[in-house]
Amino acid sequence: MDGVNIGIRGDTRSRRADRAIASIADAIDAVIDLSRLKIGKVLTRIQNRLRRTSIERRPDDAEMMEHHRKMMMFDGDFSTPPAAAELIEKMRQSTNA
Amino acid sequence: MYIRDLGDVDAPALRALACVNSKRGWEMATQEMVSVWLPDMLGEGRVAAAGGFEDDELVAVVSWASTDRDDTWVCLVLAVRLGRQRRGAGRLMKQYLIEQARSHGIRAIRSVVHRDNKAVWALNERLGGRFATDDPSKLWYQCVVPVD
Repeated sequence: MDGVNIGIRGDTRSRRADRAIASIADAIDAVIDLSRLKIGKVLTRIQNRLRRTSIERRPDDAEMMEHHRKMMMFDGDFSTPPAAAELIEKMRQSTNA
Repeated sequence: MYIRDLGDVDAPALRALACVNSKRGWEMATQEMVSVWLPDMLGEGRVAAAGGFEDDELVAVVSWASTDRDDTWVCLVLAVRLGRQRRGAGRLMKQYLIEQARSHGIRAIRSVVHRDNKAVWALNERLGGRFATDDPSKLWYQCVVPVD
């Protein structure tokens, strides 16, 4: 899922559940659609606890922030990338057609 | 809301313009662009910008620059103050930019849009924008809006 990370916080009142939740987070490294999980009783309890637990994305790391800045042209390079040039050409052709 | 071009004197207002309240990276970068990068670039005369004002308070900003193509400008940032969003200010700012471009003989406005920026994505679609990406992460899309 494009390297999306999640962080989980909250008091589940259960160390076992906390550990299970942490291991799930580490294993999947992504936002999961809990409604699609069909699992047994133990995991259902974890699932229920996850539903009551706030989930938020961690801030992007330094490397990703640099990628954002590059894509947003912080470097002052406003030259036209290939994908945009192609779009402009298509637009010009449809206008002239 | 009235719109006017921004200059050096507007740097303090830009630095105080809070437009995101999230820790998502692309939104933090947008805030950095508005309050740090843009005032510096305006001071150097490398970009142009216009501000939307309500009661003499800056509530929205759009910034743009010329490119390596004679027929295209690039829209660098479009942002609206927190608490004033979802009221059409962004659309007015983009339309202002389109009018400016038209008066200069420009045929298209390019911008980059993060895939999660649904408000700006929808705004550009309504203005006839088309999207494509060559970003390996598939997070950022090039958008081209025609200037009719």
